[in-house]
Amino acid sequence: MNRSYQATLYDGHSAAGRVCAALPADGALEIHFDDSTSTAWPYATLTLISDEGDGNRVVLAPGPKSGERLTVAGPGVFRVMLAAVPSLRDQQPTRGYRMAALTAGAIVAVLALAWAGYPLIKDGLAAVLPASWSDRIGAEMVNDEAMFEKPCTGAAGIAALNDLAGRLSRYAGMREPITVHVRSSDTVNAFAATGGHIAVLDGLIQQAATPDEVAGVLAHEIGHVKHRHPLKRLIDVAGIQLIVTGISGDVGAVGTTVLMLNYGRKDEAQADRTALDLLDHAGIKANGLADFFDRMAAKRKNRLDITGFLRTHPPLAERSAMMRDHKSPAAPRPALTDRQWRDVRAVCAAEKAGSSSAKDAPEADK
Amino acid sequence: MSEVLDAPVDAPQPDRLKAGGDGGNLLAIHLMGLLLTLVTLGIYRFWWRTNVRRYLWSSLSYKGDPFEYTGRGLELFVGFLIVLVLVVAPLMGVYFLGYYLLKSGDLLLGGTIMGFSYLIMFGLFGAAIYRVMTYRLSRTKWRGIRAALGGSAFRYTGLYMLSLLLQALTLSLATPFVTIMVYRYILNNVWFGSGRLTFDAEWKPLFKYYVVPGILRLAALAVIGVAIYQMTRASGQGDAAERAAALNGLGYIGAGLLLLLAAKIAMYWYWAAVIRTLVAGMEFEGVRFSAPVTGGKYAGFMIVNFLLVVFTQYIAYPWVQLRILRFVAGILEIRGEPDFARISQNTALQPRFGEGLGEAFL
Repeated sequence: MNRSYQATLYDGHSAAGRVCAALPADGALEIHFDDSTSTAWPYATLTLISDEGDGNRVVLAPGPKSGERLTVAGPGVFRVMLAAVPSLRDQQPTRGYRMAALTAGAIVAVLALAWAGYPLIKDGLAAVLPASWSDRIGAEMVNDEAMFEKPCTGAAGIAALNDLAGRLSRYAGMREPITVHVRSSDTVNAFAATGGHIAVLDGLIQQAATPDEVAGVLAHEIGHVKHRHPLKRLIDVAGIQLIVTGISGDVGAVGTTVLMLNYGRKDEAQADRTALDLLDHAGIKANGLADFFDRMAAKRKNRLDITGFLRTHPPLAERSAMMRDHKSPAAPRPALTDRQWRDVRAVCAAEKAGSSSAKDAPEADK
Repeated sequence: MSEVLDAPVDAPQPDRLKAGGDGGNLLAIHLMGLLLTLVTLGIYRFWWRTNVRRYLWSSLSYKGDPFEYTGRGLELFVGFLIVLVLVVAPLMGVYFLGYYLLKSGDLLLGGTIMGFSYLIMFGLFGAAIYRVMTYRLSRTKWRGIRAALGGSAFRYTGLYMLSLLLQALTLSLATPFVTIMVYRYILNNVWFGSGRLTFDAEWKPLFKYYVVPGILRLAALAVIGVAIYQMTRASGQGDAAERAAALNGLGYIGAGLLLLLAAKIAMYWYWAAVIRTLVAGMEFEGVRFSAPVTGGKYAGFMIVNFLLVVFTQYIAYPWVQLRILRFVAGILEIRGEPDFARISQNTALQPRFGEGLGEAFL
């Protein structure tokens, strides 16, 4: 038989309490008043309001919605109540291990689900997002003046590059047309954005020795577009952004960082394979890209400050080797006519002239 | 001689709140909340916050009865969603409309709309402060009786905007006046059940505590102003002049920041005086209060809190939260006792949703 504890009952209407004695009996907590009246709160609905006070004080309610409160005090009273009503333990906000175990389980489950389900969700999302949407975003991405400087306006050069892109992508089975933009940045690089937008930086054009090299890089970027890598990367970044925003409450911009992120080796290899395919169909020698890689790799040995294509793309030697192993068409056709090649080399001439200095002048052509 | 040591009959020992709680338990609540918040992409944070408050409230007791937090995570979540849809989204719409007009060359209309949306944002900031206080008090119970904050968030917003304007016009010298004005509105609207808190105090005695931080703030403002002036004047006068001005300006800005830090520390003495004044000015059903906290004690308390949080990378945060409870319990003296039988449940003041505005703007 349990002993009774000193208690005060508050009826939820008045702040004046009624002194009473609380007795943990069978199936219910009995509450006895001085005038020998009494009431009982069944254990089934007994609700824990507070168990602070080193276990020597507990506040209870007869049910979760009730306004009544019973403050019971006495040495070790919480342990006695727990013995009588084990379910009170579940109502404590903490009591570590159970919750920790539940939490860990939840984390593992969600991570496993995300690991398995995310690629599927991403591919699905990439397929259903409206083309006009990815077109607008892509145009925004390649138009970042802070990163790529000014757009180049040499009309003939732009037309030549777009002709080449059209020739390359004719057999790719693309849903969107390719639009090539040239930007006056000296960095040696090219980017594929969403919606078929491709930015070629003038630095890359000036470093390329032959039109075939430009065609190779272009084919590689078209490969990325074909496999929707930019869109998928955008979804990745947006997802991370969502998580960060959710936790911190901060809203930042997804922006052009998407373009600077490395694609994985798998994506690069996929783009390379597609590039070879496209070059074959267009009748262009595949050596171009390999030549370009080799010269860049040689340059990297000499100079440590090479940025751009090398930094954002994985090791070149093996990729170059793969290209050289590739059997190009027996009777290759040139990627660009001499006239077109001159136009492409001069595509940024107006912009460079505007921004002064001779260091931007094209290198002597071999 | 022993009579001398006896406490005088007319000054009985004041009542105090009692603070308890265990930092380890609270840390467990925080860790669990953090993990689940990560897993649920942030949504759990409303329940996290609720669990923490439940623990903190029940760690504070008066006359043997703990306080009780009756808020729910779902209320906070719904409040957040409501504000997102009804306030943040339209406001963003208006803002971007202004931005778009501005960019497309309509300077007057675009600028007006953007300025207007900034004004609304400031106003909502004030409203958010009041809504947050309203929600928390309405979810606070003691002996089964709810507390409440009456008044209107709208009127508070007016006061808030007015106080910003006064501060700007007087170069912040109106701070003591503004402090009392704002707290007069808040404190006179605090209820516990059917009992209402009343508050009155003069702002003038506070002014002397604001002299030092006020002057430091003005000095900081002046020094930084000089730096900016010099740098703008040097711009376009050639690289050498610009570099010299920039170096010079950095020195000024560093001095300005040091002055601001000194002002921040001097403000602890001001805030201690504010606490003493506010608490002494309150009355509840014949009960009077006092909080004899010195500036030095308050400064020490705040600086230690800051250092604890910074040097433990927030791991000590639960202990800091409990330290705050202990501090409140340690300084608050309660004289007299209301007639509890006359205090009944107040059924009128009950907001339905959580702190969405606070979530969005604070």
